[in-house]
Amino acid sequence: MLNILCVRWGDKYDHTYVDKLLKQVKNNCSVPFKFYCLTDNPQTDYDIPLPNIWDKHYIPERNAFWAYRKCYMFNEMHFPQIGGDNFLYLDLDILIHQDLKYFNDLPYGKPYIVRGWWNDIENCRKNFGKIKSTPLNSSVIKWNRGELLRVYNDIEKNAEVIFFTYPTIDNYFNHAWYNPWKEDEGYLRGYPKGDIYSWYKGNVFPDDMDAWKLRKDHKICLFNNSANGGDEHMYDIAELDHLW
Amino acid sequence: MVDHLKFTPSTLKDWMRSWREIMKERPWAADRVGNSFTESQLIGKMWIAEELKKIGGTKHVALLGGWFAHFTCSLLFEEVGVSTVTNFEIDHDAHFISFKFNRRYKEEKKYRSIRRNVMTIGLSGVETFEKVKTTEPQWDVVINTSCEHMFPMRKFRELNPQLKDCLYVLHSTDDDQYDDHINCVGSPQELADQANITDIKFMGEKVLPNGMRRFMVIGR
Repeated sequence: MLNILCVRWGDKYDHTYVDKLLKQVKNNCSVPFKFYCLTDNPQTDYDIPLPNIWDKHYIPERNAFWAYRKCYMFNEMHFPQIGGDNFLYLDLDILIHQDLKYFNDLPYGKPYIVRGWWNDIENCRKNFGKIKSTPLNSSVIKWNRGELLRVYNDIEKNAEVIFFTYPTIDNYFNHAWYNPWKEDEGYLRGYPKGDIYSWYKGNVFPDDMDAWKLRKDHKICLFNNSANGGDEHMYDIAELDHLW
Repeated sequence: MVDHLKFTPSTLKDWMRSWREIMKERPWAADRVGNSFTESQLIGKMWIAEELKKIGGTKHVALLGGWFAHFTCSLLFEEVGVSTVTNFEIDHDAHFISFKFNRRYKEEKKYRSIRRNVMTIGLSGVETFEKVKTTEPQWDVVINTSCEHMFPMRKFRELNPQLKDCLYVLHSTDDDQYDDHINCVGSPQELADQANITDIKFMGEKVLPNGMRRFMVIGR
């Protein structure tokens, strides 16, 4: 059984995003699954209340921390109602092209995260010390029960420093759990090229960088634009009208 | 007065070799290394050497986020007369490149770099230069010239009670125009307060040629 999780809090995305994600999952998952939404506003059967124990570290003037809420799911003990060992997390703003069974079949033993192949890795290395240009994206994460508990514990132990230092979790993951110099050696590993691409940033640097282009031979398209200050919703993208 | 950097044949040899190797092995880092070779960088580091020389007694330095540590090490060894420098760096490139610039000191077992996030992991248990693991304090001076890039230094002090008697040398700035300046301060006093430094040996500010105002605090 594959546990498919999403997280929704605040008002950036309304509940229709969750409904649409569930619909996509039903249409694109050939293995048995259970779907859950971890949320600060439970409304439906699949909603589970999101903890708020880290809220005390929120720094309003920095507007940091918000994305760390998804890291609660790394400690499965917060969610005793979720059984099974296999987990796949999906952001709400994604488009699923192909069967999610693919992700279930990837070997466990080390968590997977999106390696944004659209990034120039030399630029990521160059800017490592500046805490920007991370090659990682946390829109799709796959793990086995307990594998991400060490990440959760690190955040729990060092919350004050981590939330202050890393406004985005992807930069934290890059510093603490990945190695952009030896990409096979980090605790997190990236999905292979050709699996996941970005609507706004392209696919693979430097050869396939066209933005605003659907690639249906890939598994998932991300609509990640928050790092650029973008606020376009998937509802606003005409190309998605018949697909989402 | 420290108003120069001692540029010896061995300095030249190490630094030229470093540049060649950076261009060959880590070309993406060349821009950042170039950014470290500025008049303002040198003046900032000479300021530390000058004040540490006046205070005296510096032998073993823990350098936090020391970057490529070329100017700093040269000044600490040649002008201040320190015995060892241990650089704690989170950046892989800076870590390896700092060994290249300081090859002469490394070969004399006076310089080393250790990759570590000093705001989440304390220094207790770090091996000595002789490879002996110890919880005893190894340093008498802690230098952090990058406080604006890090969480306030009080955290480092909390993580390292064994270094409570060390002399702390801290630099920061009020220049908040850069994204990676995540912890600017408005004055040297604020810098001291962030690190819980009460016994102040030096406190001052200096406008560098690049226009950036730097604050320095030395104390315990």
